[in-house]
Amino acid sequence: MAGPVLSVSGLTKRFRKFEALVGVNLSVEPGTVFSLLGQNGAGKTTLIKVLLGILKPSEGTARVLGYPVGSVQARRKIGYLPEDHRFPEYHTGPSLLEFYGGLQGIPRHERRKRIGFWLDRVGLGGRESVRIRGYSKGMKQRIGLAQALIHDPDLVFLDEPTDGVDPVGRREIRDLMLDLKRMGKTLFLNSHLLGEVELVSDRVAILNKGKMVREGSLTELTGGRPSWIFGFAKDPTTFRKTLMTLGVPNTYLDSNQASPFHQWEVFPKSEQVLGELVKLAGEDPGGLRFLHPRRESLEDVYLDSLGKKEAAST
Amino acid sequence: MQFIAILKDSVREALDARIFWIIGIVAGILVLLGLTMSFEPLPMGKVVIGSLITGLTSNENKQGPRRAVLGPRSGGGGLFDAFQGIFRQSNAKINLLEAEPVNGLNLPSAEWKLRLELPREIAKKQGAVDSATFLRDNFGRIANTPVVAIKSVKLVSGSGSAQSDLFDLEIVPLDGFLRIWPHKWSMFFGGLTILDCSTRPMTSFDVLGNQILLLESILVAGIGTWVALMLSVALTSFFIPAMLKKGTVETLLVRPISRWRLLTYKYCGGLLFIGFGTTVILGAVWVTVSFKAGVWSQALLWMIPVIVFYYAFLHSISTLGSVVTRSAVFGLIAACLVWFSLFLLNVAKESILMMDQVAPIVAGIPNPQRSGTVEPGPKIADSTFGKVIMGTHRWLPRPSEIDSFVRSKLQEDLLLGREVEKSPFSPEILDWKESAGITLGHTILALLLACLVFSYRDP
Repeated sequence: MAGPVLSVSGLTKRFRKFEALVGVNLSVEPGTVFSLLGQNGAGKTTLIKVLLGILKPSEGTARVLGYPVGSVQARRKIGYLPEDHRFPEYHTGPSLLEFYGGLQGIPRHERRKRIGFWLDRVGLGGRESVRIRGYSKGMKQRIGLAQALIHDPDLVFLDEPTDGVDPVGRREIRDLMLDLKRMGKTLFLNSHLLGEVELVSDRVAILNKGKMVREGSLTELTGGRPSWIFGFAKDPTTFRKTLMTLGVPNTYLDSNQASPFHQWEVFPKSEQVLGELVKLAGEDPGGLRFLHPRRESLEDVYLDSLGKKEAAST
Repeated sequence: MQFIAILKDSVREALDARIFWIIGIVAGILVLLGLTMSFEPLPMGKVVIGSLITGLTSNENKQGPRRAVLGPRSGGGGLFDAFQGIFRQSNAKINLLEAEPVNGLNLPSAEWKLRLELPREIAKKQGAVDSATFLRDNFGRIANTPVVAIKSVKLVSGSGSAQSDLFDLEIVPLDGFLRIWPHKWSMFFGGLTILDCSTRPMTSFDVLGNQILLLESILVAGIGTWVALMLSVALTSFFIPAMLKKGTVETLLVRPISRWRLLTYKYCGGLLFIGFGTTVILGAVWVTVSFKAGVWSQALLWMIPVIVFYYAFLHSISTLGSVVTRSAVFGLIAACLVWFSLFLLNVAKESILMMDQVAPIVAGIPNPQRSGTVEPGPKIADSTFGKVIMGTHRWLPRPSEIDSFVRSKLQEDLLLGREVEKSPFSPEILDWKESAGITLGHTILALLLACLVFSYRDP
């Protein structure tokens, strides 16, 4: 589709007097991975439930895949893995997918094919006879992913998809998400694992107390121009003097006692200044050992957005 | 497709909860109990034939001879009175002179040869061409249903008197003949005798039709209905709350199916499941009882839709309770409370009617300590309390009246076309169609409310 798969404008959700979402605006382009970050109780799951039509918005409008949220047409093309899912335990993996596939209206012969495919894809092949009550947390998460994808949705909402999954499984799920992205699917991810979000997301939004405080691409959020770390074998006296002469902001990094190097974090104002500094550092008798850029991490951005960065560092 | 998916899900849920096992075990126990039961015909052919003759003449009127009427509350002129008449030898105008089974076996399956003395005036009064025609048209019928076929009617020449003729009849038993035949009813392969009139005076309960009626209407349709309904409501009360659990309902609400449809399909799943269970259990009981008694009355099968119908009402209450509270226990309690309240309401209504019926009778009993007549007090039904009870009863579901539908069907089937008789204490004729309509209305209303709450409330 040409327009955004998800467009939200002034969305507010109240539970009696409590405002879970306050005037949220959002737009998600097709074929991207959009991640939503926020503390527990920030309103992430509420936002997802409103977008899925499970909860009704108090104010504002939202359209999913061009349809109003909650409409049957929209639901036909949406997949959802809830955070605290409780699938009926009397089902086996195939029977659960058969049930949800039937509700999605997938023809029987097509359902059979897809069930086998998705069970294998999420790593549950060969465990067809095991009932869900006998599943581990990781297996439940895998069958949850399969039920969210059985009907080949265009937009998939994943609420903590790797919750309870071991590192190998996490990697597999991450690969699956990237595969889905390659296939042109749009993913709406809700995760506490910032590293995971950084690895797969195109855009990230941060929700705090129901309000959208930051939203943008990873580059936009972590800052366009990085700082640079210079590492020397000995104290670089010439380099230090030059920094002072040129007025380049810098910080001596002495926090890492285990490192044998003298490290400076430098914030050059231009590429030209950076070039001069690199040249000087190379000639410094202190002996330049390494040089690498340093961006603000998503964690920094996240904590900063919540006003907790300083609290976390102290 | 979505309905089938939900239906299959309900079946899996029921299988997991071992509900089919419970149904199978209950059906098995009932079948085994039924197989130990026996109905043994007693050698009382003359009594049965005598009753047919008494029924022929006991109550003449303008419409013709009144047919003998069977039933536990025959109210005069019934088989019970007919038997009494034979024993008293008072009312019989037609005399049974001889009655012998053709094959020598005094059993309901035997053909019989009879010799009767018939006063000529009877045929004349009834407008019959002659006595032979009168016998051919009227003998052996109960409540317009022939219980024997007349093979031959022969006037015995040169016999009789100036007022009467002698006739030889050959009769062949029909289905109904077995039903009016006295039987010994026992269980546990004869170890426990329930009814046996070979050692005591006979009552109307000793004929096979009434014995089956007693068994089916009290044990199966009466107590059985209550047990089956309680079991059904309890077993299926968790179906909808399980669907509404947090973490489960979300995975259903994102599917392309409207909420009201989702709830209604799930509700229908429970209904179909109970329909299946009821069919298996009642079908097994029906086959067993019919096989053992030799009477294949299909009226009992009416219990299947009746139980499912009443279960549908209770299930709708349980569904509404579950949707509002999301608790299986509350849903179950709500259904049981409604059920018990309706039962109490019915008891109150019946009590008011009974007291209003009895009051004038009591007032009319002579009291030697007081002179003159005693005026009965005002009717309770006309008081505010009575009006509230009667009015509420009228507009609420009436399970007991729906049961009465099956009882009337059983009576019609087992007691040869007899109409449902009014309760001696109830002045109104039960209108089961109205009862069914009101119950259906309440079922739809409860389900509608449940759908509205489910559709418009955030889960």
